[in-house]
Amino acid sequence: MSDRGKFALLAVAAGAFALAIPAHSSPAQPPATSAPATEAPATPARPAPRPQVDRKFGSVPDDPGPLATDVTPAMTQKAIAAAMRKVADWQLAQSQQYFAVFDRSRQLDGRIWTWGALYSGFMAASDSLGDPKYRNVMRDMGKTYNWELSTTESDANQHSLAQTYLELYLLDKQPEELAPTKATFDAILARPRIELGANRRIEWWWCDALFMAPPAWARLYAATGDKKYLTYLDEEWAKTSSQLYDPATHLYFRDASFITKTEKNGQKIFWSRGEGWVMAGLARTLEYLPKDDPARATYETQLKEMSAAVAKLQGPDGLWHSGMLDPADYDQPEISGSALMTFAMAWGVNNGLLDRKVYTPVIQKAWAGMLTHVYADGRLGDIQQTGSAPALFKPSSSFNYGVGGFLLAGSEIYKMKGVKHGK
Amino acid sequence: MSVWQKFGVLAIAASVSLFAPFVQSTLAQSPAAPAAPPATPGLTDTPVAPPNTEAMRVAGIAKDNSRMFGSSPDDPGPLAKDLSPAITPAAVGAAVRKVADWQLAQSQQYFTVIDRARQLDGRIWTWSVLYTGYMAAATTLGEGRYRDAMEQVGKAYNWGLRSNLPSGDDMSIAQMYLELYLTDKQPEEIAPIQTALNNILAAPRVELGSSQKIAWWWCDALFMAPPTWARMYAATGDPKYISYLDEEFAKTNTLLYDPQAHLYSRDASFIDKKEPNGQKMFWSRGEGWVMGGLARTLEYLPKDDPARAKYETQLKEMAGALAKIQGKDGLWSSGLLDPAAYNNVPEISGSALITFGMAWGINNGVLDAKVYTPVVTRAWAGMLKHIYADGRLGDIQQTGAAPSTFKPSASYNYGVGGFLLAGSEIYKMSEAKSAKKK
Repeated sequence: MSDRGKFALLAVAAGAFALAIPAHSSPAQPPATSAPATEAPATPARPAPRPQVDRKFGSVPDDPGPLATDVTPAMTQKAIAAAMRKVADWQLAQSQQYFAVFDRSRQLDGRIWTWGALYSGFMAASDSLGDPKYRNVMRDMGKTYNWELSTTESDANQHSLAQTYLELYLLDKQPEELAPTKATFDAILARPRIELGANRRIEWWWCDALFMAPPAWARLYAATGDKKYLTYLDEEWAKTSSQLYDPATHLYFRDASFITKTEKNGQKIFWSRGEGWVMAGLARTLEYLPKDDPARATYETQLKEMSAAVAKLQGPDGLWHSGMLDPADYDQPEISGSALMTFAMAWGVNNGLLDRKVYTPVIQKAWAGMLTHVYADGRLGDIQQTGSAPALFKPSSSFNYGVGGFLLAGSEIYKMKGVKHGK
Repeated sequence: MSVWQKFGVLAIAASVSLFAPFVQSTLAQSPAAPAAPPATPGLTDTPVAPPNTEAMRVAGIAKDNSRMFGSSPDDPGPLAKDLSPAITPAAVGAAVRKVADWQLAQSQQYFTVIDRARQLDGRIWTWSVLYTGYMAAATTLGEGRYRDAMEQVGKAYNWGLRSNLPSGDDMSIAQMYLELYLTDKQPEEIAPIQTALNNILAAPRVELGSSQKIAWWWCDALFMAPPTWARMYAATGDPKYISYLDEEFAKTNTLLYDPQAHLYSRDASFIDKKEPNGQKMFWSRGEGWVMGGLARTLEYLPKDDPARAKYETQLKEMAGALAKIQGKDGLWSSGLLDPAAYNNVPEISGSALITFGMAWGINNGVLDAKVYTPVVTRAWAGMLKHIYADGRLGDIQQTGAAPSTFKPSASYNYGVGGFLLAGSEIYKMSEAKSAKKK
């Protein structure tokens, strides 16, 4: 029996336990309780957490069917576009019905971060492929919610959606697309801020927040021209960076509670998706940051340092495991983190930040690796369920935010120099 | 086979054929989204008068039911036996609670739902009207549960609306938001509606005689919008909200109020329409919307408002006209001037809103208590006969724009809202009465 087969059996058995796993990274949740499944590596057969599927973020079927045979890693726009569309269209068919849903009693809300990350991918796909299809779906989604966020509070997780709203605003210039986000962000600016060392958590106290919020603030600057949004972004990012960035490894801890934790092999815990969130957050922030922003150099340096660090850790299959420094303890590569890192490196190359010669092979290898996790029907598998730390998951695991990362990566690779043009 | 039985069979047959494809088509996921429905899907008590064919009527019912506005089961069970028409706080309170609690059990789960594919949205007008009823019941009966339910709705939606430039229908939910604001004074409860109304004030206005429709071109709007503006005035003290209200109400009044009949045409397309018996077409719920809207506007209008006398006069004139055509059962038919064309069945949403308007008029000295107390008392007793043992309030016409027929079991959220408004005012009457006795 293959490792994967064994794991599937274990996972099925574990699925019988009704573990209530919260949808990670809500600021209200102490990280200690949001990562219950990864905290006890004592027993060899760790149960995979029961994936959360009733909120419609994704699915984990026992039989996802065969892998795709019609995707190729060729560096041609035609091949890249075909893979992107295959995955994007499968995702639409699976979940479009939940984009424009809010149901308090069923805990459904198409505006929370898992969807926000997917929407960023759809926006990028429409942009790179020159096909308004995905963007139009996003506009319908925004209209349904009247361009409101799911909360008017300061909660980075709920701000990722604003990135899509603001990208649409930058195209459409319809005031209603901007108004609720601006009102919410202005209210945040009017509130007292939390400094490092206070007995309360800083605004972006977990590294995921750097994907969710800063790119929204950067886009709000782009939409308004008002630099107060950048000042806030730079000040808050600096706090998170000084708290969570590890200058030795050039990686981010997921949050302060992880700084002293170690993997089974004694290494520090660095989580594939956590690093992906930060790298992609850097790229998506830099995208809209003015050339003369005082923090620009810091972000660029960080993206370079992190890219170098993760390139060194790239697996032979081109991908990264959920626990970056102890891949042996997490059987499979993890696609959401791999995709977000790949996106950021491709963005870095496309924007002259990363050395094309050094990183093009890394990116190509990663893209080829990701494609081996696409199923015949378009499902993108091996995406870790929501959480806050490295964890196990079933091969068929597909969740919306991972598809978002894949579409971001595909969109940048599609634009890379050297990719053969033409459809 | 009775007329009703025949009708039931027809309705079932039609709903089987119409309902199924409807559900299919709305749930189907075409990746390229279909042409976006307008922010306000055409569900207002319908913009343009429909041809009112049987097929459309049945399709409308299926759609209302699928959108969870209510239901019209073939067997609603027996009628209630535990209600008394006595105008005492105990009896009125019991009836209000029975219906309110049944409605909550049926539909609270849909208060905080938006689902584009299924066309669900707890912020649209049918729900807003229900919410006004819950707010009234919470206050008069001192029922914290109803108020808590409304607080939850506001919070779930972040006190937001369906649009930043809302139609009357889409601002109606803010009546509840604003009533909560008036006691809570939490800025977030008022922010989105204030922005929206300010947007409307900043936008160009449509005058009568223009080729465009005026803001409140259908009489239902007078329930949905003016009470919202009046509450915004109460919340802010800014008279600009009242000026707008008075100016726009005057346009609608000029367009739709019939000075002979002292009733409102539903919209301009109805002015020349006739019932089968040749009478003008006046719709029970349409008159109810205006009566309810007048009362709920006057409630927050400053005493010295220049238009106040006009609204009071209109409430008196309409109350006079409606009292004259009150049915023997205390209620009003969907087609007010041709009950026979609608099977001589009373319609409860219109009856409840009309009763609310009259009871408010009595309680606030606008209507002569001696003349109208018997009218209201008869109407209340009549409505109670349409309550089922489980708390269902029946004989509520589905959404529409004109008189229509419906099944006896038909129960919809806005009709319950009207009933709770009426019950709350009658509860106040009963309290005053019992205080007098002591």
